[in-house]
Order: sequence, then C-alpha cells, then structure tokens
Amino acid sequence: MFFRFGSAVFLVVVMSLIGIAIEKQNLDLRREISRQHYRMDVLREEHARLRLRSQRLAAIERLFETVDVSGGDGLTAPNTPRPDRARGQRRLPTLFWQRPLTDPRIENRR
Amino acid sequence: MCFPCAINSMPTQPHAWRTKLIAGLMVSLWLIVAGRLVHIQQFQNRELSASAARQREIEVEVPARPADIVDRHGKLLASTIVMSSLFVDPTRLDVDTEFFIELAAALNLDTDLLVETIANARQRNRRFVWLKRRLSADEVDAVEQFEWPPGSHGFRDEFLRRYPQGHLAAHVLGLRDIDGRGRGGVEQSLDYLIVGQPGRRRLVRDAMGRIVEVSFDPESEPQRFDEVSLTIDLAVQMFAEQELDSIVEKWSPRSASVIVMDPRVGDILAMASRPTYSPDDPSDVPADAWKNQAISIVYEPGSTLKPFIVAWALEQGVISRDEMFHCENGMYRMGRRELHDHHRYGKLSVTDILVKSSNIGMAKIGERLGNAELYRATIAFGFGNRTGIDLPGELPGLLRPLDKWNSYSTGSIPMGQELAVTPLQLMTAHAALANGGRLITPRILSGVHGHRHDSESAFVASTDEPRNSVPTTIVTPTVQTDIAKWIVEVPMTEVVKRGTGTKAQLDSYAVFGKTGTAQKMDPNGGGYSDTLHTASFICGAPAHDPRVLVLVVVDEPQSGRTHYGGVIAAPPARQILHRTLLHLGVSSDAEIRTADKRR
Repeated sequence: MFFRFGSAVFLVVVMSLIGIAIEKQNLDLRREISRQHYRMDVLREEHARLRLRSQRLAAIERLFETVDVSGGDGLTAPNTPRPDRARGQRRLPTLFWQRPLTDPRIENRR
Repeated sequence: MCFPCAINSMPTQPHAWRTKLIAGLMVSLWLIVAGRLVHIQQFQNRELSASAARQREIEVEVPARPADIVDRHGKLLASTIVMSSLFVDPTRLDVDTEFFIELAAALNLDTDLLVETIANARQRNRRFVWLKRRLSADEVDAVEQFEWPPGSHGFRDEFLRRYPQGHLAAHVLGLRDIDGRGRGGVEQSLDYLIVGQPGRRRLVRDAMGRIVEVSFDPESEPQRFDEVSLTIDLAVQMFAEQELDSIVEKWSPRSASVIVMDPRVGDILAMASRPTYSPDDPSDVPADAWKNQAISIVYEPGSTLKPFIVAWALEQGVISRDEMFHCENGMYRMGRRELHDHHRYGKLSVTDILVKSSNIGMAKIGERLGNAELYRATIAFGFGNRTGIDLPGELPGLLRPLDKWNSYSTGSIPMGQELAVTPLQLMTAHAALANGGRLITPRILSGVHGHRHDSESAFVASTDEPRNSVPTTIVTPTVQTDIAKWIVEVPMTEVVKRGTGTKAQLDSYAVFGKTGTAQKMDPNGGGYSDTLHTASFICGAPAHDPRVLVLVVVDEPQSGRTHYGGVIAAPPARQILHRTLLHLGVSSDAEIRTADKRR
C-alpha cells in the first residue's frame, strides 16, 4: 500500500516538476519574444535616427554647395558629422517601461 | 483503497468513536476544501481571473510613428525620432530653491518661471506637470544626475518631427506642433495618411510592479504607412528656392513665389515662397512667412491671362489665327473709358497682339466675345475655383458673378484685370494650354508606401506596389488641342523670341512664355497705384512637347527702377527652367533634330 501511495506521490511530484519546467521554459520564451520586440523597437528608432542623419548629411543643398566650392568634382566631404550622443543610450523607444509615476491621462501641459 | 474505507476496515476498539470523529472531521474538512475549490474554479473563475489580470496586467497605448515624407525620388523631407520629455509630480517634489536653480540651468529654463509653475501646480494639487518636452540627450543626462525625491519625476517618450532638408519646401511640408498635430502644408492636409492609428500593448507586471513581459498582438499594433511620397523633386525645389533668394536680394519684394509643374500630369515639381522659415526651428518666424504665397495670395494676373482669352475666342470662332486687328495707334475709346498701349501699334495680327501684349488688341477680342463668353472662358480655365490641390489654405481667387460685370469688364478682363487669381490657378490654367487643352487638377501627393488597415475608416493600402494610392486626377477639356498647341507653339513662343519675354530665351530649347505686369490697387484708395506692381512670368519648354512649366510671381518689387515681369521675373524663370530641363534629361531641340535625321 505504501509502495502504491509512494508511487502516486512520486508521480504527482514528477508531473509537477515537469509542469514547472515547461512553465519556466514558456516564460523564458515569452520573455525572449518581449526582448526581441523591444530590440525591434530600438532598431527601428536607430534606423530612423541614422536615416535622418544620413539624409541631413546628404541634403541636396549641402551637396550642391560642395560641388560649387570644390570646383565641380563634388567629392570633398562636408563638415565632419558630430557623434550622435543619443545613440549610446539604451532606452526604451516607444514605451515608458519604468513604473508609471501617475496616471498619464492626468496631463497638465506646461 | 480510499481513506474512509480504510477507516471503516480498522478493528473496533474502545475509543473507536473518537477515531471515527476525527476521521469524520478530516473528511468534512477535505470536503469543504474540495467544495471551495470547485466553487472557485467553476463559479468564480472568470471574476477572479479578471481580478488577477487587473493586478498583473496593464494595457498601454502605443502611438503610431508618423509616416516619413519623401520627394518623388525617395529623398527624405520629413522624419520622426523619439525624444524624452520630462514630467514631475509637484506634490512629491519637496526640494530646496538651489535644486530649482540648478535644474533650470541644466534645462535652459527660466528659474523664476520654473518655480512659479511648480508652485501653481502644487496649489491646484496637480500630480502631473511637464517640465520640458523633447529634451536633448545632454539634457537627459544632466537631469539624471540630479538627486530627485522618490517618485517625483519621470520621462515619457514623445515623437519629434525633423526636416533634414532645412528650409527647402517649408511651405509645402508645413510642420507638426508640440502635440504632433499637422500645421500647414501636407503635414496638415495629409494628416490622415501621415499620423496612422495608435496600437495597444499588454504589459505583465510582477509583484514589485516591474514589467516582466510585453504581449504583442499583431492585430493591436499601431497602423501606419512608412512613407508618404510627394510629387516634389528636391533638386528642382532647390533651383526654385535659390532663384527666389536672388529675387529677394535684387528686388526686395514684399513677397515672391515660384511654382514648377509637369503640365502633362499636373505634378508639382517645386513650390516655394518668400518670406520663408525653417520647419526645424519655427520660433521667431515673421507672421507673413507662414503663408504659402503660391496658393494663398490673389493678384490680378495682367497679361498672363491674355492667351486664354485668345484661345477661347479661337475656340468660339469669333476670330481666326491670321486675322489682323487695328490697335488704334495706342489709344482706344470703349464707351467712357480710354485704353492705352505702351507703344503706338497700328495693325497687329493675333500673334502680335500677344507678342506685343497689346491691351487694345485684347479689348477688341473681348468685344467680339462679349461678357458672357469672357465669363465662360475664365470659368473654363478654372479661375474663381480652387484647383483642388492637397494643400490647406488655398484661396479660390476672385471672380465676380456675371451679373456684376459691366462694359468696363469687356475691356478689363481680356487684359487680366477685374479678376484675381492665385499663382497656382494661373499655373494650372497655363498647364491646360501646354498639355493640349486639358485642365488637370494639380497633384502634390504621389502615393503612399507601406501597409495600414484602419478598422474605423476601412482604409486599406498594401505594400505590394510602392507609391500606390495615387489620388484621383480630374481632367476637364477646355479648348481644342490644335488651338492650345497653336497658342503655345506660335504666339507664346514668339513672346520669348521677339516679344516681352526675350530674357527667358534658351539656346538649346524653344521656350514659350508670357509676361505679366499688373498694377495693384492703391491701399489709400483712388484706383490703381502707379508704384505698386505684381511682376510675373510664366514659361515652359520644349514648345513642341512641354515638359516643364515655371511661374515666377514677384509682389511689389521695391528696389530697382523697373517693375516689368519680363525684366524682374523672366530671368529667374529662365534659370529655373533651364536647370530643370537639364536635371530631367529633356532632349534639346538640336538633339531631337539629329535623332529625326538619323531616322
């Protein structure tokens, strides 16, 4: 009887442990998906910033100015671009992921 | 064997009733627990699950990043980046004055104003006050160095619109205000395409309130287009802006505007105005600079209107192309009114009436048409109505109803007086002549790129074909193709060859055009002013198959001794036309002749 009881308890424990392991794995995967989406948001923002920067550096007026100044070859680089400090920061791009201080609906525009 | 059965099978002992009692209690206890479990799982399941979800999960709105704006070649005109905005909870901001002084210095704010703002918010018991919107990276770093009281401040991400091409096409683009609303230009008129629909994301928190999971549902993600593409060609836009700067430097006008159009399809290649502003820095902009002069000023078109009247007279058959008109040696009496030409002309052909810009010749054509047909002519070419371009603030011009016209109108309308037009109206009407008589709605929106599905508006566009969703173009016939073609290839080309528009000649292309010098009304009353003029010039090329039309309008040129459109507006129009033709790779007349010979 004790053997049967012990086996039943053992089975229950094993099943619970397997369940916990699966649940943990599930949680890990969901966290990974969250991270991937977060990275996607960061990359989108990076892409927007870099595209803006490249287009600003290649602004048509700058290019024509360069062509005019350099006598027509147009190969002289414009001013050295300033490093973008914002790039170094790892902040969440679209969501305010920190704990909300207050209800964002209670806005009082300054 | 079950537990109660085990109890029953035990041998009977003196205190068996106690054992039975304990067993009974335990069974009852288990039954209560089991019942409660069944009750929770079966009957309170939904309620408790929802309650747990409320504690664990929050749903936040994810704003849609506004679509980028690009020119017809994909060059970026407007884009969006995310910036941090700083807010505080004044009730928790228990700090000394020194803190505010340092904070104001770090954020480049006025200390007194900052202290006053916080004090006012405290008085009203407000828990949320923006300290500064859209901080730079340096400012964010500086703010994070401060020792803030717990829970007293925070950052929120907000979109910031940037315009990498500086002031180029500022009036076409408009800008977005601090709350992300489009103000002026396509930012306002195409707001429904640019802004998109916000999405929602579900965040899961742990017991400490930290976000441990973000649930993504493709259905509830923000709906937006990637790009909104305009018909503007950035290079042509720059040519126009450079020439406008030269006009301002040379003639110090009150305002000036340039429009460049492809007359075949009505695409606006460039639209620029002076004074102007930089959309990236809209502070300290003069009031006049906000106005897109190309669509929101009206002026009497003067001689630039004459080709339409001639075309309509030919269409109605009241004159013929080879007819001669006597121009009365410079003075002609129409009822009580005396009309004058700049020179004393005798007999002039229809072509020469346009080449010499004879007011008397035009008045005589006007007499042939009569007021009713003159009115029909102006309506047919779109005057008095908005062109329908996708830009806010377009004026319809000024065209009085026919019953308000009198005998003066018969002489005034053919020479471009008694009605007022916007530069874009005039450009659209001339495009109708240049493309063979079809009045086309001018286009500024080329298409959209990306995928969006708005459940509310059921608006769908796909990524399969970039630059899709081209708006409907309305085409209205005006005059017969051969008449329109003759007007462009003969009289208007002769205007540039030997008439008032010689300064617009190009060596490699046959240019057609028409000058306009309109007197403005005297602001002090008393009719037309002798000193205030609007000089304009419209030209296009190649005459046999017009690819580009350029209109330059200079309002009240002040420096210099002349006010003629052929002197003030024609040279910059020529420059813009030439550079645009080269930029677009339009074959020169010589190249076409060579190619024809080879065939």
